[in-house]
Amino acid sequence: MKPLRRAAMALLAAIYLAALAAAWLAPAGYARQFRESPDAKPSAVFLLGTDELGRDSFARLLYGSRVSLSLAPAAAALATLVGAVAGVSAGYWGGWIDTCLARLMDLFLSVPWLFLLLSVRAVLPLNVRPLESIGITFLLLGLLGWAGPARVLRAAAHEVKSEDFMVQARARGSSPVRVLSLHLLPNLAPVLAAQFWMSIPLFILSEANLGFLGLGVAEPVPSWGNLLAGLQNLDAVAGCPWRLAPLVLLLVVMACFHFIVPMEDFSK
Amino acid sequence: MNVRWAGFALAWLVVQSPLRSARIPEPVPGGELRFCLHAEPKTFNTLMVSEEPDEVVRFLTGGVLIRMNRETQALEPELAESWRILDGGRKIEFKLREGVRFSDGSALTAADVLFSLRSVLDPALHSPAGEPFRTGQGKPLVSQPGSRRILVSLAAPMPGVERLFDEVPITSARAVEKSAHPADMPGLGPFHVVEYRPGSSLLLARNPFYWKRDEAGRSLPYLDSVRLSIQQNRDLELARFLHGEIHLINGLDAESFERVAAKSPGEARDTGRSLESEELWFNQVARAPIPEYRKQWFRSREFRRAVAQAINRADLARLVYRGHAAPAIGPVSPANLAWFNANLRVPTFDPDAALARLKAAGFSLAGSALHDREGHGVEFSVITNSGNKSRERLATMIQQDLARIGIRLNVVTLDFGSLIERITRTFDYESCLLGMVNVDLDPSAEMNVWLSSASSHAWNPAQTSPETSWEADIDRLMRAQAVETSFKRRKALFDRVQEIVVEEAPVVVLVDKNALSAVSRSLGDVTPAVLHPQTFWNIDRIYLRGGAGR
Amino acid sequence: MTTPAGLPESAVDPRPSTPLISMRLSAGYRGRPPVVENVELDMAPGEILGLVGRSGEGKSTIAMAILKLLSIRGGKATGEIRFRGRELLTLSEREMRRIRGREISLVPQSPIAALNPALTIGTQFREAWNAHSSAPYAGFEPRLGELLAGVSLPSEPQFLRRHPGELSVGIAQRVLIAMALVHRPALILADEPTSALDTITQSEILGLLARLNRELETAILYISHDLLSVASLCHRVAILHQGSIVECGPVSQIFARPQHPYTRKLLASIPRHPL
Ligand SMILES: Nc1ncnc2c1ncn2[C@@H]1O[C@H](COP(=O)(O)OP(=O)(O)OP(=O)(O)O)[C@@H](O)[C@H]1O
Ligand SMILES: [Mg+2]
Repeated sequence: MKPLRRAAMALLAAIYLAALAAAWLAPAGYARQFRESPDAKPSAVFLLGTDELGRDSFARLLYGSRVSLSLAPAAAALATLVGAVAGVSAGYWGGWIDTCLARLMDLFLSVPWLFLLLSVRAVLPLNVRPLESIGITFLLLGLLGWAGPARVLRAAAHEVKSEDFMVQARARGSSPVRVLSLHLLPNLAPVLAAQFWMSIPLFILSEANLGFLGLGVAEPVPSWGNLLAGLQNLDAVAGCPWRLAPLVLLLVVMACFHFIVPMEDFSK
Repeated sequence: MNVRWAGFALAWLVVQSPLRSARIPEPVPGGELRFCLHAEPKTFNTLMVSEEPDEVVRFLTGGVLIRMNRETQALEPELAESWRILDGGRKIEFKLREGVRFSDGSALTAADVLFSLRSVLDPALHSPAGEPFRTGQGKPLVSQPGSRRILVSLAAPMPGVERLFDEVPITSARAVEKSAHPADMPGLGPFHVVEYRPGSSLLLARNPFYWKRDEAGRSLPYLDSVRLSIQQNRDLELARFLHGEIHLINGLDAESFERVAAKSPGEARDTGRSLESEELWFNQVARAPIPEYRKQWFRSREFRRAVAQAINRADLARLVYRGHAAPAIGPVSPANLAWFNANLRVPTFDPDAALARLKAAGFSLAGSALHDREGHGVEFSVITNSGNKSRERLATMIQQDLARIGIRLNVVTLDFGSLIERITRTFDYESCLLGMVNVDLDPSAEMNVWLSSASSHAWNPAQTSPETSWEADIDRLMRAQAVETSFKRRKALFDRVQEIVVEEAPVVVLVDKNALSAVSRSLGDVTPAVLHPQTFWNIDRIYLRGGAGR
Repeated sequence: MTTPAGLPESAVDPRPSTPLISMRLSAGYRGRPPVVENVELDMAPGEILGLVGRSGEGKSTIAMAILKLLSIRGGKATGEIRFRGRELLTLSEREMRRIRGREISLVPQSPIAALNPALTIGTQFREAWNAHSSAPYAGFEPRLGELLAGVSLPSEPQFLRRHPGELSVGIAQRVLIAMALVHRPALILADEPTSALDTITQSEILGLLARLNRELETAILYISHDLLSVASLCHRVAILHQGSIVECGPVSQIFARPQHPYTRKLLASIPRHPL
């Protein structure tokens, strides 16, 4: 498990570095439409060919990786943070705080997302620049995705809370701050980490769905979400295996995450 | 002129038919044609049909007094042997064809026709086919001045009214009573329903009493039966076609078309420009919740024209539709043979001229960004519906085209409900990219689009009085053509409307999409048209090569 | 060792007639019938009271109720608990926190589980100190040495750097007893402190508790179902059965003349063994 995990981390780091170096690796840029060569096959000029509007697919993949690989972890961190605050508060303090927060979590997990997102879209301004849309998408994913982690952390906090050493710490007269920071959080760290890693692939995929409601990363900025959406037509891919590059990259990254997420921590 | 028109149509038939029969091998009768309905039929009552699947069934099984030839767009006599327009367009008199029988063998009587017309025209029955007649100027009356003559008297003249009878079903009280059991329902069309399996399929058999005969005197239709499978999923429909399970697909998109073409080139049929276009318009609603300076741009003719000039329509057609679309000329597609203004030309793509036009109107370039007179950067959003790849691509290409003249365009895709809400109720949008379809060719059918008071006047609906002089002009021209009886004068009026729309560019018509369909090579005499029902409008003449084969 | 400042008069009042703690307590868990009802107990300063009952009778529930920590496990206590002149059940959480570990300490049943596995012993001593003293920890360190020596533990830095996982159960229990004594509480609640230990270690711990009681005059509520250990350690014993105290009195009296049938049954189950 250990060397595999290290290899996965190295691979992920390599992909991320390549994405950061997009400007050097793919000088054509992600937006420029070479309208005379749409749907081109891979060549020395266009390593992965071009899309239907003649945009360099390799550049779009790299820039898309940059967006998705920064957006998703940032959103995951935000969701985990909000989820941790809510979940730990609910699980630790219990009582009416728990009742309210648990209700809120259930509500968030059962709410018709479509409806919620439609309302969000209605409230946000239309004139959002493509780069701003990245920020909005990240905030939305993070702020709306907190309930899953919160529920897990609530259960974990609830469990850790009644551990003997927690009772003992309180019986010693330690302040709540100290009990939380010294005893609870360190013991929740593996759960937090697992939630964080698990949210990342989830958010990479959700971003594409947000696009359907006018909330995702906006044209012409590429993201894995909108690159994958372009693969929905299976026929467009038949005979053009290079078009599967975004999917392959996503699978590789998901596999990396799978090996990085310490699965043994769930059995705890 | 209307009689002349009908005469012209007849003459055309006479001239065309020998040519056609000489060109094709002898049709072999028999066999079953199969294609898909895209939804469950809602009703078999021909009087109440409003949705596409019901319309398909009515087209195959029902009869009408006048039929529009989908290829020539000319009106042809059907159950009416001929018709006359009387009293300055206030009345229309039909002479009924002799010897027409229902599919159960009973004769079509003048009483049946009276019943049908009265039912359609009765406001209390809410027949969708009667909708265009309900002008609010009184109820049309139907009478029988002679044994085989039927007279419809309108409250006010309606030029071009005869075309509406293509949609007015002729049926009988008996048939309407049986519409809950379609297999028992007598009809006047080439086929009649013999089996209906809800959710699955509909089997139509040849109507043995159908009145039409071919040039050799053989009774039509050639086909024995038509099987309609209810299939909502267009991908599955395509797969079934590619496997040879069905013979026809109407309304293909460009990508599916390419798939059919790749597999068997002869079966993908591109009929050229259709009546469907894609358009971009600017929000000109005074109370729209958008910044005042942006409204100023959208109200500026020069701004709108510059945008129109800066968009490379040819590229849009070539890339987004893979060449199965053409740069739009004006608001009316050349596919509308009678009403298209042939003096209009495809607007030229000229970013430099667009920039010059903007500069003349007080805009200026600072670096690569365009600014208005007050120094606001020119940036606005375009909304379109999500899930429509073509529209998203159009928007992305327009984004790059406009970037060349320093305009920053932000593309927002919205679900259809939210989009409609914004363009019809809240007016919280700046520009919108949507498609338009013209089903009825007559300009009177477009009153609800062009009149400034109309609710579908996209860029600024329901104005109490026209807010611009050119909209006032359009109002006047549209109202005038609606009561003008001479086709030539109507055409002149409507030509002017088309010119104004191009000059003022409230909507930038981008491309006319081609009518694409798939037709099995085992079918004979299929001549896809741009008008509904595209591939099988001449269903009574379509035949299977080798008869029952395939 | 100095007397902590601010102790109420009654704490230093030598009159043995004033109880250190006296309670009339009902307690239970949400959605269940009450575990104990109107349990009446009192303890004099410096006294060791044995609380005996079979498993599940509610002994730990009483201990947690005294510390007002029952809510952690979803329980609730009503009645009254007078401790050094204050009514614990009406104190705020903040005031109660100043009592826990400073005036009343807890020595638990499972010593290993009661230490945070992620922290060193030293860190947990520091936490215990900081909980009630704003004085620098460095000033406490010499006393920590004495404290550890008092419970027969090494006081070298290496020992304090160890994690709970590296300790034996007996050592861990000594650590916890030492921690309970950091602020010289007036009362130690020892909830079956020996049940996890082997017999030799058990008797060592019992000896330790007896010595602490003698030397520091700390009162001990000694909870157990082991009557032998109770007999050897306690001054008085209370028998808990079916939610109430069925019998309470000096050890000699209860062991010699048990009144209640339940007590007799308990005594009958002790293997005959010279003390
Ligand atoms: N968190 C809880 N929720 C519900 N019921 C509980 C909880 N903790 C204990 N109980 C119940 O309360 C009763 C008393 O439990 P308690 O732990 O006080 O007994 P005890 O006398 O300490 O037993 P032992 O000798 O096994 O430690 C038992 O029946 C137990 O099942
Ligand atoms: Mg217990």
